[in-house]
Amino acid sequence: MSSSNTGGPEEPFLRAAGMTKSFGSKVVVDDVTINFFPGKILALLGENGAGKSTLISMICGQYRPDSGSLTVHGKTCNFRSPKDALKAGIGVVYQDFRLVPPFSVVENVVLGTRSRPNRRAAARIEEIAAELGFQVPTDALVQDLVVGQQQQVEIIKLLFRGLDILILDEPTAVLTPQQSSQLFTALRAIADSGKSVVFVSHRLAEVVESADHVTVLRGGRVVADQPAHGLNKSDLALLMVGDGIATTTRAARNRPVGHSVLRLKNASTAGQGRDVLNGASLELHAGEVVGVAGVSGNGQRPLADVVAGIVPLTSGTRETQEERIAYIPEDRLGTGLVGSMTIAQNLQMRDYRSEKSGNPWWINPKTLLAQAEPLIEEFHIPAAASIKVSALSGGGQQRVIVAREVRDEPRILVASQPTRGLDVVSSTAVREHLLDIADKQGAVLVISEDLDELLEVCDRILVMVGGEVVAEVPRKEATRLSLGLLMVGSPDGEASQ
Amino acid sequence: MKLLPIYLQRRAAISSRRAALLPIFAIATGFIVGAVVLWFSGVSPLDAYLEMFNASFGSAQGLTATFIRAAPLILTGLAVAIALRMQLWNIGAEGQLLLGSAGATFVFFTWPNLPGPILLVAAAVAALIAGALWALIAAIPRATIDLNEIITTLFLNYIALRLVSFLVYGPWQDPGAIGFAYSKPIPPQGAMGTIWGTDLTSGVVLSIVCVAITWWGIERTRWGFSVKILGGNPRAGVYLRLNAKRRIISIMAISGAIAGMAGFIQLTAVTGRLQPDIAAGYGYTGILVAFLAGRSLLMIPVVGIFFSALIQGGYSLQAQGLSSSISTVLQGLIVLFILLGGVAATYRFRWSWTSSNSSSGMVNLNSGAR
Repeated sequence: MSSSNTGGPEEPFLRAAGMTKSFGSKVVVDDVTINFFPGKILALLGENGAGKSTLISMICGQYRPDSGSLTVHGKTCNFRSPKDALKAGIGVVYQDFRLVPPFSVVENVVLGTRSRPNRRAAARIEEIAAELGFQVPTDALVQDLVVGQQQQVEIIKLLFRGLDILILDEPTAVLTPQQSSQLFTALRAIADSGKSVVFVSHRLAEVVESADHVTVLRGGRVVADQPAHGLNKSDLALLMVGDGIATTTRAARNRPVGHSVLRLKNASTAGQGRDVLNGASLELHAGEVVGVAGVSGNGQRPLADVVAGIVPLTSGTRETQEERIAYIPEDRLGTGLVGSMTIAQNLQMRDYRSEKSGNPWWINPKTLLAQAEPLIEEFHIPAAASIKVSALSGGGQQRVIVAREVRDEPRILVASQPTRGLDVVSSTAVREHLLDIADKQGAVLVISEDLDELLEVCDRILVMVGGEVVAEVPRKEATRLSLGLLMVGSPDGEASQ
Repeated sequence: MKLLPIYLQRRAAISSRRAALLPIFAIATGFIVGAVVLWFSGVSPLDAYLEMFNASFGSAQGLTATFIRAAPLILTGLAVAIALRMQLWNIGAEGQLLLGSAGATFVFFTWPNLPGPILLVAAAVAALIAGALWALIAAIPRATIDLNEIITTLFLNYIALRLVSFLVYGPWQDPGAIGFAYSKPIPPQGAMGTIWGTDLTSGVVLSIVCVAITWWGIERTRWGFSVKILGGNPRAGVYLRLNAKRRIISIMAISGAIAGMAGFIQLTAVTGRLQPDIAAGYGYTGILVAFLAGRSLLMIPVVGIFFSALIQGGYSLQAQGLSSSISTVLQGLIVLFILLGGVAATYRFRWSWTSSNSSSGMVNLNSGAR
């Protein structure tokens, strides 16, 4: 679908040459040159920490580069703020949308422009939406829209301003497969109208299918810059992670599935909105890895909290005999760690009360550090025990949580988005630990938005919609497509909507 | 279209050195701006500051006064700081101090014939308990129904003041001084002793001992560890199944007890009688002390002595016909500059006259960062 003629002497809309940015002593973006062409979709591919976000931040005026030059429409630019970039025609759709929830769609779109939220603006919005196949009611409040629609509002916002360089940061992270393909159809229409579209991703499939051109970053440098046509997923994966690193977790073994260790029946939790449990049932067995798939915000988070036993039920039952329940929460620094405390202290947060810590009253800082050392080594935590945990990268923080939760061989382990935001090496390490627990006859519940991850590590996969478990699929029968369809509520693999 | 040739860039983190320099910067700037105030009052700032220094540190007498006043400031500062460890704002140290002194007075008047050491210990314990109970009136609703402790502790100060007024005009009134706002004197053996050879009472030593014990409780006990978790990240507390309610109650009780201890010291070392102005605003100044000491409990004695010297020095200016409120002005300025400095420390400042949308000509991006 993207066999466009390449190599024409066309002028790029934007040319960033020799872009370099360091934070402290770490060079995050190193002499990167990249071109955005009109009428083309460019995919910016790379692992976490490859420098994608930093590069985008420099192009859109958020960061100032240490060196390099930025040319937009033939003019050299020196952006001081995102406002300058906006004036030059560059707009970004961030992963976390920048919308005002209690405002209507029209109000959100005109905000920051000279237009008023009147009928003329609404007509223009409807026109843009129609061209892209978006269905967005202009007078609806943004807070009443689903995530996919909110993203459409963000895109309309940029087009309404007449911007011609659109950058989308991980646009499919929050979408179902069906919504994603709708998005890429719209992005193609935008590109065909002569604009330049750039999206950041680390999902190989969508890059191969949807982009005209691919730029791959690794370790802050461009390692590939070529037309997408003719590339395949394994080529890209190799480019992205480099040579010699195992990208797949070991094949799951045939573990004997043991007795039931936890049973949830018609469980419901208090709260508002869609992100609550609403009669969910599930059963976990010893030596089994169970996955939970679902569009984000359909009750996954309360499910994890309930299984881990930190949130009470309003109705239904939770039966378990197990005391040793470990929990890797979704929100690392927000829930799982205390940023102002050291790695050693964070590692002891579960155990400091138990007999193992020695003395029933006192805490000896030296003992604390000594207890942390073997864990730091075993789990490859990249800093000393006396460093504050907030100084670690996302991957380092996740290693601290995993080390603390997994070290005592829990009988039940709840892992929520365990590899989100981690690079391939860290992800593989985390998945290995999950499988280890199952090998040792623990029960593991993995909640993830990454279907490939679930297909890789789970023995069976549950699908959640609206706070309920609506389907259960054995791994052998599960595919990305079948799960994706179940996630949007079309059972039996029949495509609807 | 720019007002000032400055633009700001947010820093990712404040370095610890920068954070440590902040109070020094704030104090220095406070004194510089204070000098301008003094200048406009027709006084030489240098002379005034020298006078303040001499009055607070320059003589044995001044030094004694500074250290005596430092004791309640250190304790109220500690009371506020310890509550802040759980992200609780105890604005009620003033009231807890009053109740502490009332509790001690109760012991003195009930058992006036006990020998000195026993009487002092009993009175101190009563002060601790009374301060703690007064804080619990705010702590229990905070723990159970999430009632904002800032409001409740503040309003309890006014109730405490009325309560003490009632006591000194009523049951504990001095028959020899009808109409005056103070009680009968406490028994002579209840006066706090002085440190050998000086006029310095043991209050400041006692307050520093309280700081050390509290520091140890936070840093070296399991209870302190859980307080640090809950104060550092309340959601981690839920996740680890810690009992936040119990910690809120225990930390507020300790905070109130410490403020009550300040009341005991005021009563036995300074006033010798219960009187409504025994708190003298120390409960509120304690908030500033805790604030200036930042996250460090061990800095509280230093800051407490500094604020005490400031107040002591302020009084000396009265002799020059100036208002002693210059010390209040300085306190306010220092706190203001701490706040401003805290914000400023999170930004990188740049100076440039070039307008922000200049996109023509050669622009050197090397000047961008670092």
